[in-house]
Amino acid sequence: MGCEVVVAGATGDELSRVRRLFEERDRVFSRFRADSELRRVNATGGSMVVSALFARSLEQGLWASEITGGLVDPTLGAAIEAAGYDRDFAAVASSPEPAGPAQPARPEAVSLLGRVLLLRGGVKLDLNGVVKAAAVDDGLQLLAGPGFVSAGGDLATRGEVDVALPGGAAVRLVSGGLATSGRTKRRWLRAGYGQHHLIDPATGRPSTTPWEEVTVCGASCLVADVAAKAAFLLGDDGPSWLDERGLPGRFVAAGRRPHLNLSWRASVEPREPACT
Amino acid sequence: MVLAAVAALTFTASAALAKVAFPGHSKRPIRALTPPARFLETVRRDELQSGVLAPAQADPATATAQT
Repeated sequence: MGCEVVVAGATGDELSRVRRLFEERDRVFSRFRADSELRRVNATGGSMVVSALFARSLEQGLWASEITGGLVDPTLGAAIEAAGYDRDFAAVASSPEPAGPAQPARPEAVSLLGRVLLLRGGVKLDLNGVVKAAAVDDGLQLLAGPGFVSAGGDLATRGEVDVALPGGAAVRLVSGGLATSGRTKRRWLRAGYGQHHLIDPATGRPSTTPWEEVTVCGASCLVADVAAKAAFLLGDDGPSWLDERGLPGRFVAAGRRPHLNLSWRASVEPREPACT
Repeated sequence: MVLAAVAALTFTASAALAKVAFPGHSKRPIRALTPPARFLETVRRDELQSGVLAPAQADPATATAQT
């Protein structure tokens, strides 16, 4: 998945099972491996039978689209390729060539009934918006006791753990998951214009949000990751969108102190003693 | 001829009466059995449940960062 996986609290056998789980997810969902199921599905199009794992992840992707009002969408595979992220990130280089044509999201082009998938109109899937976080949650389920699983900084825990945050500071994750989405690490240029991997589904182009990084705490890593992406894409409306759902969010913008939404502040700032 | 005309008239009248009077027939336009939009919105919001955060109490054991 192109990221470091950290596991704490696992026995040797549990660690092996977590490793196999991540290897399997990479084999199935990689956009760059020629033999991945995702590549086969995108190349085939039309109707096909997919694996149970693929169907479950696509269901999660469609669920993410529904609960975020289409912000986190699984049909942006062509858009991210058009932006220039069409190979392993280590091989993505800035180029004087312009980005390809915009490719807005088209969730209506996807129908899934059990394991039967119908993909219409040349739409390409990219399930990486949910696959890594779901793998973290599933990895944690393989641990019998307290511990945590973290993949590239998206983590889920059973038991309390102190976590360093982007730009300094730390927080204690008591339960659930913590995920950070942002645009400062995976970015490149096309014809002098900055590109990154978080696509605005409405425009089909990299988002122009003011945020550089958004960290969210959710009941699971999947919830945290989906909410962090949605809040990032919502720009100035991100903090209140999270507050409406009771989700703590921490927003980092260039040259400014991190902005904490009300739910985050209520969780981590010392409370005034009650009047008696 | 007359008999056929009476039969056709009777059939047409009966069909029209059945459409407006038979208790099993809908007398209003059909509406899909979907829950109200506000209910759906509330359910969707509730699906995004929060975890639990607290102030840090020790050196971080791990970090969250974008990938």
